[in-house]
Amino acid sequence: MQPSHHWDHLNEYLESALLQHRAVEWRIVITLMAASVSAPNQQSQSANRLAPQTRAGEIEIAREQKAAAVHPETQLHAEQVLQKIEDEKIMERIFGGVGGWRLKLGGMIVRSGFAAGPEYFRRFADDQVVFRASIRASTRHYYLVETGLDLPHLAQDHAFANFYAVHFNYPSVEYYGPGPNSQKTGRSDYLLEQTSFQTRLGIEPIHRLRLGANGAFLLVNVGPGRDTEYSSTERLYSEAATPGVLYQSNFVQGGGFAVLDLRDKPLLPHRGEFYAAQFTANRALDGPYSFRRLDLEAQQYIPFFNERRTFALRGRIQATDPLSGNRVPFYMQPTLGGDSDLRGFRPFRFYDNASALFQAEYRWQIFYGMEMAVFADAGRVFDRWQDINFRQLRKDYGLGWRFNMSEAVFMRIDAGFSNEGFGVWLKFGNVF
Amino acid sequence: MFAQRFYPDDPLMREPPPLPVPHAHAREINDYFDFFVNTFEVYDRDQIRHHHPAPSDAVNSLGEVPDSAWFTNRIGSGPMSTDELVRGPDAGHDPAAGQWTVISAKNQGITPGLVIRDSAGRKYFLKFDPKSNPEMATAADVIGAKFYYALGYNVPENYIVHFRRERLALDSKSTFKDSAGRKRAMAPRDLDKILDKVPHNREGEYRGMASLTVPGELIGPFRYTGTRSDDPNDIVDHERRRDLRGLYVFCAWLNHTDAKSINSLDSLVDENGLRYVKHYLIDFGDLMGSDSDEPKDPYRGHEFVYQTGPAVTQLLTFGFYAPAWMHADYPHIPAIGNFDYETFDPERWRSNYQNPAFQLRTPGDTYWAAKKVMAFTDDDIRAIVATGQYSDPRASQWATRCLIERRNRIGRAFFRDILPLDHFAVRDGKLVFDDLAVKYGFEGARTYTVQWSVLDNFNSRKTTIPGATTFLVPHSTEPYLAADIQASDPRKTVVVYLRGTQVVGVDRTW
Repeated sequence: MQPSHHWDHLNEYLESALLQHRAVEWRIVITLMAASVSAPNQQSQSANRLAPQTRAGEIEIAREQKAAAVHPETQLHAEQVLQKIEDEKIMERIFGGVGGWRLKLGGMIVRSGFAAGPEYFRRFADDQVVFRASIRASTRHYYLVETGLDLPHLAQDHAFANFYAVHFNYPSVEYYGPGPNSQKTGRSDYLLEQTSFQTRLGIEPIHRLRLGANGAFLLVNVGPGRDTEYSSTERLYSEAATPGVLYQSNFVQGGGFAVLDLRDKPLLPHRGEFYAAQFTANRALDGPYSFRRLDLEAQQYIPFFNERRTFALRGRIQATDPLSGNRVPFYMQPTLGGDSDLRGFRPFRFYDNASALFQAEYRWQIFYGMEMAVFADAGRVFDRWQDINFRQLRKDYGLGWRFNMSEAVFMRIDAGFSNEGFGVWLKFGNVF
Repeated sequence: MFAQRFYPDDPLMREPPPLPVPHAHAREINDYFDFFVNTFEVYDRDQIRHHHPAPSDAVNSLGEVPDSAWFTNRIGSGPMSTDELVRGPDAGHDPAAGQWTVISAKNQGITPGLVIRDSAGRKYFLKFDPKSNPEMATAADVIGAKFYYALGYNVPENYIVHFRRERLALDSKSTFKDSAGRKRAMAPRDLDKILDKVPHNREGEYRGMASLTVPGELIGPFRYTGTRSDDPNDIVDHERRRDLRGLYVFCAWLNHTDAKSINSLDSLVDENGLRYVKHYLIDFGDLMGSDSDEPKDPYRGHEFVYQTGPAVTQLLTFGFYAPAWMHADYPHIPAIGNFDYETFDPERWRSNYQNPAFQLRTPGDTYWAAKKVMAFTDDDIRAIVATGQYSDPRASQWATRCLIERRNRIGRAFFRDILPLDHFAVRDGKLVFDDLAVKYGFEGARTYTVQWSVLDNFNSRKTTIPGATTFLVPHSTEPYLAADIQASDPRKTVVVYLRGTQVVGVDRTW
């Protein structure tokens, strides 16, 4: 219960003002106080003489008091800092969108550690040409240098082209031997160093449908792993079991792709579908390692409760087919295990010539900037693509936290559990 | 306390003319700072937690907000014709015929905007709709200006305009901020690219919302706390102003979730030979189902961007708990976006993030505001919605229906918190009034008790007049009388003060 008051604040203000005023006339006040002992009513009458006699006068006095002390508006230091961040577009520089130098995070192979480095990003010719170049290093001494030129709006947005070159050096990539029955205890590691020059040309005949061709030249170097805790791959596995472990080759690639993307927000989807198919012919320049590869992927997002909940489903098939007398080098085989497929297993836990993966997530919004997910993954690698089936799948389940910025997942933490233990993944970007 | 309970000029209906303000410096308010401070460092947290906010200020002895640099009594204080409602703040300054010169433009964000000067030399911000939702944001901006003007606030003149590309010309000094954030001279192709992002009809005609620049020297937004240190007339802490606390109710009604500091503007104006700071509300593109560049996310209006309670609930229940707004069924009308009334709870409505004035609102504030909302008739609402110029009749019908239903919910909710007696007067020697809850059909006819007293105006002491328990004004030689009125709930009282036969004061308890 509370009564309403009228201009009480002003009364407080005014009382303060009057006291200041009486400080000047202190002698009068003392006289009044002394007189009040014998004549109590005189005090209020004297006070009333000093107080305004109208409501408007009350307001005017308060204004005059403030007028004597006005000073320019200022910002707190914290606000000034934030204003500078906004004016200088520092967040945009970090997370993309503004030309010039910016910080690039992640983007390396799993288990590389925290990776960061500078990136130069610039749009030219009215955004018709986008150039980027970056160099990154990780806490575990993995390195990556890349540069790319995008022409995303050719033929009035009906065609696109991309040129990309990358060099990376990953000193320790895990390998557990071939096939679905490889043992966790069979862990080894190898160095993977690669330089590639890639191009991708395509058309968008209708909105959201992309068709195109891609080609690449790959220079590959595979060597002993640098992690002293584990044996190097070539020490544990033979060339017969693990093609390419002793002999390596460079490659010329060529192929085509088709993508139909009907998701509402590609980087933070809550409804829609995504379908992709890519065929690549890989011709080894040295040794019997030529093969063909087909990647198929489908995603489906089923929202409910006004898109605060989503069932996200994903299926993926990766199939390789060596040319006659050839084998697929192990470092180019499909793999399973890690941050984005079988999340309850070690990274690259399974290698073989084909793989099938099925993932389901139930995602729910905690608040505008955060979602959680419970998920289940199932998948398996196969020696031949003709053997792909749904039996004896390796399974895991888990819980995830996704932190969103704007219309994208900025960072996620997924914890997956399987019969081989668990994995906790902190990644920049969505799982699918 | 040296002040009298009532002064001879009570009730004050208009503040005295402001002191002159020769100059004031423009300053910005950082949007992120405003968000973080209001989300995590809640102003007067104790007052909010204990639900004992300080009494509202900038009100007269009747509990009404007098006219000032902030507010002008319009609807609810006197009749407003349909013409006046539809005209709103507009003074016939819609963009003049002839060419519009583009002064500057922004191409950042999803919906771009232009700054233009018309052939009469007036400057406008020209805003557009997202391609996915033609008419949505432009209609909201115009409708919002009309409603807020009628409610009493200072707002810019907003006009729906239709034009073709040929009408726009570039000034030799036009500037443009490209997607890389670089400011440079603007070229015709920049303008074409901007217009590529906005919807147009088959004839190539664009629809925009031209907002006339607020008059005067713009000195930045106002905060919802404290006062402007460079404005001598700004003497009441903003979080205690009834016109800002009560703004909560208006924002709830109109689903104006983005009511925050940067959507306000102070201007140093010259009016009637005086230079002073006038306070405006601006930018109503996110009213109703619009979020300016896309339909409003369904959570908006129901939860803050971040709110610990609901977040913890979602976390612990794995999302199996779904509040009512998650089940809201929106009409699939692109010009409307996501707007409804079924899930609207006036007392639990939320702006995008906490607003100190809103958080400190009292039942007295919400009652004051609800009276104004209830003063809009169905026809008034229909007429103002029509100024949004929706081409789809379903859009105007749905917006009107939602606003009518939401208005009724506001009346029902906020007339319940106090004893909603109003329009006091003495007629034929009797104190008469309206019970607004009864008048609008939220309550059945009810009986009241009254007890008259004599008021000592210098010490606010009341002396009961024995036997004076009818609404007939008792005979007394004392200048001030008080009538304590109750209905069935003894916590909810209204005290009416008379000076002779003039009603000079109203106090309410809840």
